[in-house]
Amino acid sequence: MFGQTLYVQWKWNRDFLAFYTFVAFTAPLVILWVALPHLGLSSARELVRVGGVVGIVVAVISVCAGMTVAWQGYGLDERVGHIYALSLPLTRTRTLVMRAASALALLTVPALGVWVGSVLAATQVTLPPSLHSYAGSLAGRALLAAWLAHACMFALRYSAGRRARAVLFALTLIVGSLGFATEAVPGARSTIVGTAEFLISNPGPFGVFFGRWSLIDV
Amino acid sequence: MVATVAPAALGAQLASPETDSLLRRVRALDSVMAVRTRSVDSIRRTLVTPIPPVDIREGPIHVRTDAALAPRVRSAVRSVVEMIDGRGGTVVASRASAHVAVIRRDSTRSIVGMLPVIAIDADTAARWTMIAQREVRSPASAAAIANGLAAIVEQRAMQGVDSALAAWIMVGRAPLRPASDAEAADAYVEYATTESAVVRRCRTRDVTACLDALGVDSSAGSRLDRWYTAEDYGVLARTAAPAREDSAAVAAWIRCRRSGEDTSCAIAARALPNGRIPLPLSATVRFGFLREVLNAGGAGAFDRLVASSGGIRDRLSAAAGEPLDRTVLRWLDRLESSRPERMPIPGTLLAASLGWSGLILGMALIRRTSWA
Repeated sequence: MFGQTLYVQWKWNRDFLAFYTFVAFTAPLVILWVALPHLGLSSARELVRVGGVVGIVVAVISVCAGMTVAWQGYGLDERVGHIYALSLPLTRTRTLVMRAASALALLTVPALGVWVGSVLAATQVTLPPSLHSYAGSLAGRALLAAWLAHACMFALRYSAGRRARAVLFALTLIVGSLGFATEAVPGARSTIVGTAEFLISNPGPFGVFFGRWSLIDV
Repeated sequence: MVATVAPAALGAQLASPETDSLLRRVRALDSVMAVRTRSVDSIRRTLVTPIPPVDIREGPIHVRTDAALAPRVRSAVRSVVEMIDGRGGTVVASRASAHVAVIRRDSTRSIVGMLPVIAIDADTAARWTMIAQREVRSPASAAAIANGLAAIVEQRAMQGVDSALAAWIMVGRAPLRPASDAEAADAYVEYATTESAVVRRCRTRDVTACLDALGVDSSAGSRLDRWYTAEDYGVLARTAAPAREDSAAVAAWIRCRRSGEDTSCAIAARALPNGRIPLPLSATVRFGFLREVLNAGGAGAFDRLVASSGGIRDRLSAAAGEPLDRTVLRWLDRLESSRPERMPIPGTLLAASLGWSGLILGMALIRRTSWA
């Protein structure tokens, strides 16, 4: 049954996965290709900066890939009234577990694209001894970020159902209001800032998104 | 009205020999404006802010504050006194004791209205001072207040220091507080990414090269030849430009910036006067080295640094109480050990990321029972 679920997820998402994998593979190569000979960014400090740009692009691609797979899986099913899911001889929980597991397996494909592209890009650059390329770490972060982004979108879609957009809008509004409240309500500032710092730092839930993303670093 | 103003306005657009005198005039007016702003600020402080009632004295630190802040300020003062005893010495203590700092609640502008802050003034005088007021976001912990107060003490320590030492340190404060992790990491990143021949030699633990890169010791030869090789000229051209009067060098500098052509970069670099060749390592790294020197010297190190005579090297040796080569090697060890492990994925991040992903997915699975 898991194989069948994986196959269905693959059919639903293969176009997006191909796109994200292609972009993840080519982004490090293209950025280094543009930055080194065309912009002349070749000093150690500039290489670290260019590596950071690669990292940010990979982070965005990973998050988008994770969210797209979760959104697409639910969206296609919803359009036909969840007939496919209801026709399976499985409980809702078991179906969702398999769907989530298969999505997580599929999200390794863009991460592999990141790894291969980064390794190839790193071989094109002569790094000074004080710098290192981190293709493996970057791909690892990409995988973790894609899984986390998928988990968030999956939870939103399957928990909120048709109200997902409204919930997403409300969440955005709440986060924006909290940002505003740090200035408008000074008494609440330390609590809000402390909570935000926990959320975006390791071991907070979104620490992987806000950590260091770079192909080249010290 | 237009007829009266127009000739003057048009005249201002013309390139004329008076341009330099106009610039001098603008600068003179700017300085007048700066002096008047300080006077206004002094009057405002005299009128608006009376001296707070609570008097706190401990060791060389004397602070006035209000009753609500007093417990935190007492704790902050205690930690600053410990810092002075441990790393400062009599010079720092005497300079700190000559002024009464004021710590009070204040407010500052923010995007939406005013924000409460805790303002730390270097002294009770209403006049403008070189040491700017420090502000800590309210409500602040004793540690945050201590940090602000310590920064003022660090600035006080440098007041009256001779110009040779002040010019070498450049940042205008003495390194009495320990370096934070972020400062240490930044110093390592600069040390590891600086494109300079002398820094590359320093990275191979060549003590003489390190001292030259830090501006402590200079060997024979021009700065350009000592600090940079032909491969570094392109990077050098991004931080220093030749004098505008040397049109050939400026043209080469532009070509170097645009195309990175080696010959042009060499012409541009060779055209730089010796005094304009930038030091390979920044004042921040020198500040870190001075901290190492003071650490080596222990209590009284800063006193010896200020009181001793001779070149910077002799004075630093006197402060460290040991041959400077040994201090440099220890500084290198510390610098290299502060390499930030920014990219490898730590186990906690891996576990946390997988755990949170699992938790969020789990919440989705148990949240609802129907598909709609």
